[in-house]
Amino acid sequence: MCSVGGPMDVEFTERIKGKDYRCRDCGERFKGIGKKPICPSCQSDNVEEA
Amino acid sequence: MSKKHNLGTGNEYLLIQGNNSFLLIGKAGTELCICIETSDNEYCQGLSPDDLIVVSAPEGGMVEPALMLLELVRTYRCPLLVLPKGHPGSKRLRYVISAGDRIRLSCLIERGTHPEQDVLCANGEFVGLVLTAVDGGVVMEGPDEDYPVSIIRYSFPPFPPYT
Repeated sequence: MCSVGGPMDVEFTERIKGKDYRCRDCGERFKGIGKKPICPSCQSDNVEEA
Repeated sequence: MSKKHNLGTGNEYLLIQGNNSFLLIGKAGTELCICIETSDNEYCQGLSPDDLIVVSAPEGGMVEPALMLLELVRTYRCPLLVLPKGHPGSKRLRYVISAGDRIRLSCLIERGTHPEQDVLCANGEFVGLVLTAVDGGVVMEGPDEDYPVSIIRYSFPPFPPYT
């Protein structure tokens, strides 16, 4: 059964890690994860690591 | 062992029915960004059209809310909210969601408290199942791939998406 309500929970050794990006189109700065960073504000993939 | 199921990027959903729970899978369908909000940070995950958005109903229940949750994220870009560990609201969550190119089901996590998108809380009957996005479909790998699977085709009324 799922551990909802109970004490059990697995801690992953690799916690979520994001890289800092900046959107070249709108200037938004964000922490991206995954293989394909996309700007959360304008949905552009024209981004660079900040 | 693995088994591939075809799944289009339109209004198709793959329903994997267990005895006590179910999984509902949709394709991202387009390049999109989903935001994952934790108590102290925001992570933005880019998805490719073939990536998966998976809703798990560990206690079972109706399929319609799972469809709605999937569309809230896919079409309306609602962010995913992550509860802190030990939050009392965890036990209220009957539908949970993850998105990515590979998602493994686990019953050893506290519902709604993991920002990692490669793991999703599920009923014990789906433990060990791994869902991988492939071109035009989804591959199920695990100890048992013979769950009843069906394709649902459903279109919500054409309200305009938020911009």
